[in-house]
Parts: sequence; structure tokens; C-alpha cells
Amino acid sequence: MTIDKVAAVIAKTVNCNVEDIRPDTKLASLGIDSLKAITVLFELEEAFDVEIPNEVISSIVTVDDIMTKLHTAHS
Amino acid sequence: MSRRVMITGLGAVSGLGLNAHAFWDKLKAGQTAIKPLNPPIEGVKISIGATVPDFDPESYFTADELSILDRFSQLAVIAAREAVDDAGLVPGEETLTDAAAIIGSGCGGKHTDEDTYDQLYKQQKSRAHPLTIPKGMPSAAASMVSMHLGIKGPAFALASACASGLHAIIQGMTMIQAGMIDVALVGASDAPFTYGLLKSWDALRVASSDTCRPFCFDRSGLVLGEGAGMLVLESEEHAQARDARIYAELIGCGMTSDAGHITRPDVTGITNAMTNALQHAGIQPEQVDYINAHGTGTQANDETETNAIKQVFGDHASKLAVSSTKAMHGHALGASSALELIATTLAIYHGIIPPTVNFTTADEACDLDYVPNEAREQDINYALTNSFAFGGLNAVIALKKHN
Repeated sequence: MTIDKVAAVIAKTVNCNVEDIRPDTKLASLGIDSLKAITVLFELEEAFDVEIPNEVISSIVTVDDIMTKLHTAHS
Repeated sequence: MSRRVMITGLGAVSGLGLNAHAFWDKLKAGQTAIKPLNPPIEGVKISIGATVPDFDPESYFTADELSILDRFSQLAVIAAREAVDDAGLVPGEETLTDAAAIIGSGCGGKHTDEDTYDQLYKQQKSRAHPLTIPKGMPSAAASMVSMHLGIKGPAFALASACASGLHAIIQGMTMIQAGMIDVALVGASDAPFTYGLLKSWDALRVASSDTCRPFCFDRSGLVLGEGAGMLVLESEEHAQARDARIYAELIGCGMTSDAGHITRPDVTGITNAMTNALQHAGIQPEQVDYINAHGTGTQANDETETNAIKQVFGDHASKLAVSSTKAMHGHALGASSALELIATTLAIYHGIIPPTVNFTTADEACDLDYVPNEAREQDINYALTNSFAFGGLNAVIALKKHN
């Protein structure tokens, strides 16, 4: 999974521009609150067929954090 | 302390259109919203209904808002916005901020629930959509109405199947009478056209394949509808202080339960509900000009309701007008009761009784004046509206013309 693919899922889920999504982008800056965050994670889990544990969700702040959790879940 | 309660705002989304004006125009014209389902739902016997026509959710909500709005919440918010606007209230201002929002529903967020169950059971997905709970919960519409209109007073949902709307309205009415609140946004919303729910109605064998013919000899059952009916209720002092338009006054209510059969109506429970409403209103049976009947078009309801009206009104039963507007807006479950209160309110306000359409052959067992097929111009001073739910939960509201 690449940042481009992850960004595409995020952008589609929250209706934002994919160009605005970089690794250091904070989810809050995209208007992603706690409810939208779990929707984004759901769509990412579906797209990449992975399972992100509940325990790590609260530590996700940036897009890079999501990439890390996805890679961990995938390995 | 018992304060008088006025109706100052109306909002109606139904098979007859997306606002109260369309609702009333078509009711008084005797037009029915019942038509073949388009597209038909494969594997379901029910093939007709009164669905909301030409409804484009995106013209009412942003994509972000729609992501958390089940169809029953969408209909509720649209009708609530209309009722609030009609009453001249403004979101953000104190009157609305302090108001109550009490929103009934017979079936809640079935579209959301069934979409998720379809994904899990049929498509064998391993995950449920994360918004399933907040979108589908029975109180979702109440929450969404409060959020969209900035209502911060008491807000909750109320469920009593097909009487949900009247019970919600009675709750708001009695809270105003008791001095707990000055303003209440009350009503109900239902969107029952889902595969699972239609199959379940199929199984009950009460749905007509023809059309809805309340009180007719050849009536063949109910026809489902969808929609939302919302009203702004206000204490008399509050309404007068801001010079609000008053449609009618809510003067009494009666609520009973049959404690009998889960689906078969009971003449005693219904009779007592109407009697209680008259007593609470402090009026005599002879003063009532019009009853908006529950009138589902089923064999059991229409005969039982007719008998109950005869018991309550005696000789006057043959003199008062009784009509069922369900033949026009369909049976939108809990929302029907709120829509019918709106129909009754507008009947009083305009002095026009909406008809019982699709009326063909009279039934000896149903021998009252059902205002068949054509609306009737008639001054109405007092009226009742009846709603009787599965499970024997009966609610009746008495209304008075405001002079």
C-alpha cells in the first residue's frame, strides 16, 4: 500500500482533495473527527483487507500514523 | 397549572409531496399517492405504496450530512425545518434553543440496519459499517432534528408503532400544559420501504395488492407509505406574545392500551381512548364535528373503529364526519399519526374536510358518514384524530378551532 492509495481512500471517504493529503497531514486538519476517523479506518480496512486493532486507534494523529498502523497490520 | 397549547407550525413530507402545502393541496383535491413501486422490489409481494416522490436527498443535505442520516432521519429533518420555518422560529434564537424535540418512529433506521445486515449475512463481509449504530438507532431522527435545528431542550424518541406520532405529540402537549417548556417540536418519521420490512409486512397478510379503501365493503387491507409529520406546539401565552399564527388548539388527549391481542384491535380500548380525550378536553360528544379516523382499510380496524365511534357518540355518530386520509398518504406507520393530526389541523383551519378516497361500495358494518371521495367545505369547531397501534396502544387527540 502506498501513500497515494491510502490518500485516495481518505479523500473519497471525507470528500477532500487528495492533493491536500501528505504523510505529515494531521487528520484533524482535514476535518476528520473521531466519528469520521473510524469511518476512514473502516474504508482502509476494507480496501487493504487488514485489521487495525482498537487499542492503537487513539494514537493515530497523522496520515503517516495510519500508514504505520496499516503496515503493521499487514505484516 | 394547565396551560393552553397552540399549533403554530407545520411540516409534512409524504407521498403527496415534500411540504405541507403539497400535502394539503392534494388531500383536499382527493388525490392519492398510492402507486406501483418503481422500481418494483424483487421477491416481495407488496407492489404498491405511497413513497415520497421526486426526492433528491442531495438537494437538502451535504454529502457529509448524508453520511450519518438514515432515510427516516432525512425525512424528519426536512419536515422539522419546514415546521420551524412555518412557525417563524429561527435556529440559534432562544425560543428554539430552549424547545423540546420529541420525535416518534414506528420502525426507526431500517435502511441503515438492513444495509449492514445485507453486507454481513448475504455478502459475508466481516465488518459492519461503523456508522450503523448512530445512523440506525430509533432515536437517530430525534438527535438529528435537535442537531440540525439547534434544539437543546428535552429531546428523545418515542415508539408505539402506528401511534408513535400521536404519543410524541401528546408528550410535548402535556409538557407545555405542565409548564415544563414553552415550545415543542413534535411528530414522527418512518421510511419502511426496505426489503426486509416489506417481506415482514407480506408475512402479516394485511397489505392490499389493490389499493387502500378504508371503510369500504371491498376493502382489502392497508397500503404502506413513508414520510414525516412535524408540528410546532406552543403555550398560548408564548404564541400570543410573539404574535404567532395559530392553526388550532390542542385541547385534550386520551391514551389507553388494550392489554389483549398483539394485532387485533379492541373496541373497548379504542372507545375508552376517545372518551378519555373528550373528558380531558372538557367537551361533549355532540360538539365534535369531525374525526380523522385511524382507518387503515383492514377488515378488523375499520369495523372495530366504526363500532367504537358509535359507542362513544351514540346518535351523534351518524351526524359527524369521519374520514381516513390513509387512502391518500398511505400508512406511513408512526409518521401517519402525525400526518393525520396535520390533516386534521388544516381541516379545521381551512374549514375543509379531506375525503376518504377510493371509496366504492358501502359496508353494512361500516355505516357512518365517511366523506367519500370528495372533500367537503364545513366549519369545524372540534375534531378528534385517532391512532391505534399494533400491540393495542391507542392514542386520540382532541382539537379546537382557534378564534
